[in-house]
Amino acid sequence: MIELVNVSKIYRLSDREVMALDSVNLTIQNNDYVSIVGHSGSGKSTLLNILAGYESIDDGQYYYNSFNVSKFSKNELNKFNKKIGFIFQDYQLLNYMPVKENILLGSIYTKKRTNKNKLINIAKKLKIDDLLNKYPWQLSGGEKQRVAIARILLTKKTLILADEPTGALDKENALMIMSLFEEMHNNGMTIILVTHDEKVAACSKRIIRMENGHVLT
Amino acid sequence: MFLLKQLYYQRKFHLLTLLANSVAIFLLLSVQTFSDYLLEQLQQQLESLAIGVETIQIINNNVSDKNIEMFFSDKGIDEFYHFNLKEFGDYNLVNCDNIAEIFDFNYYMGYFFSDYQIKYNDNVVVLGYQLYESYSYPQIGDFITINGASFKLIGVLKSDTSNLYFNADKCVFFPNGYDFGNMKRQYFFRSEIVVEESDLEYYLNNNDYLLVSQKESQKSFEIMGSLIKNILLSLSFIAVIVAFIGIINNSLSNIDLRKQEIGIKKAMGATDKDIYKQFLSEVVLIILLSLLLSLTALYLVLFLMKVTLSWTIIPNWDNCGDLLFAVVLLGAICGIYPAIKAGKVSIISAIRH
Repeated sequence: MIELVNVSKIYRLSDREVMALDSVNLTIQNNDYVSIVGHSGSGKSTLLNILAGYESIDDGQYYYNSFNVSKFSKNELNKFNKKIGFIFQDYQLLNYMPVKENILLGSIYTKKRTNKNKLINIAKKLKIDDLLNKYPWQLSGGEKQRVAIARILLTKKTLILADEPTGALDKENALMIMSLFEEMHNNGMTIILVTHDEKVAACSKRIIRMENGHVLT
Repeated sequence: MFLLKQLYYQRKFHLLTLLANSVAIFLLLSVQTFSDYLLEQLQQQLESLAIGVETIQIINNNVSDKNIEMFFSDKGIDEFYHFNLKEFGDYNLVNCDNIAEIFDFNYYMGYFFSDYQIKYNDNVVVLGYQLYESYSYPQIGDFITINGASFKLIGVLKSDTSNLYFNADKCVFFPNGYDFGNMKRQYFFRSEIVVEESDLEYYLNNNDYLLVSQKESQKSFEIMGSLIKNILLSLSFIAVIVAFIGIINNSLSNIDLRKQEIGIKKAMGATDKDIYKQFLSEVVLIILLSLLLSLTALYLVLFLMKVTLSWTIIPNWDNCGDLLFAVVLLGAICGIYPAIKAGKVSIISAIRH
């Protein structure tokens, strides 16, 4: 279970301060499928980064399965990061490595032996098995996002965070990605995705709305 | 394997650095190798000139051998050689000990007298090359007549065998017992201690002898040679340092270019330490590859020199090994700071880059 208690995040710029999150209280159960919706600047990406442990909080507490993530040491944070799969809007693939190596990157730092058959099975399932020797710059947006998802699926993740996963995709590819999320949710993963698209949000089981750093619902 | 793959994929970032390092290390190895070779050649030249040999030349023929031998004994000089010369027309008659032990003779054929032949005053002779020509190229074992007496030829010295004390080309060498009368007497010896004219005053009168020592000259040559070698090595080491400053510069600017890569890897679970290890390993791998390239280039150059100039030069691996170890160590040290900086890049700053 994820619990945010009075969480605030302030960005201190050279000429002003920006309150990205203002006393946010939020609970998300395990195996939930949640969309966070809001306009640009509402704080949804900041919230996602905090849930991933990529950013620290300035006030409040963040609990994950009763562990206080806001008080984690660097080592503990790193172990926590390994349990999370993060899907980026701009895919974040390494263009200089072929697709196969990009997918394998998902397991290199977990220090678990990679089963090559597992990689091929995942690639087949995501319909990217014929792209394994190609480079990311040779792929379409939908293919890239599927490669990013394959990277996540190579090792066991309990929490999937997705920041505008369909933001750069056309309708057809967006639907394909959302069906993958549905499948991942059915396999027991907790999914939290950030979007400004109501249609994408409608695919999830629960919608959380944000505005000006506050959670509205 | 993963690190090698990463280096291969990132090769465009590292190619120029690899090239620069290879050239600098090649320069260092070449200077070491060629200066060792030149010093060796210099040493050989000095030895062939007998520059380390000292001599006492006897001016007054009434001086007794006993006094001189007492001097050698008191000074702890165990090895000294008689050398007595008489000019005879165009050539010199020489009776001597086994001076091949103190001079670096090259033989056209045969050998010099043995101690046995000297002791028993054998009827044998060694010719300098000009004498060999003038006797119409006799063979080893042939008997030739000199000064009315017959001698068996046992050796011929190579052409241009000469040193600071005598021109062997014009000499006929006999074992020490042969006295041709009115011979100029000399003693050759090597000494660890510095022998000065004043040392001989107790044993001989001032006007009876001349001490000739090239020790100071030898030392000067050796010091000069080492100095030149050290200067050249220092200059080429500076080239290596410059190349390694390039590594630091390249690595630091690479961090900015590779921020996204660092962020993605951290998002995939890489720790600061993993990133630090990757960047440091890349530097070390580049240096090792540079070593390999420069060694290959060096051997290629040495091979070409052997084929075209007939120079056989072999690197001295004791000296080169120390240098290469210092190079790898220095390179690794140069990689530490950029690696630490890369490790500290945060995921968010990298992903937003």
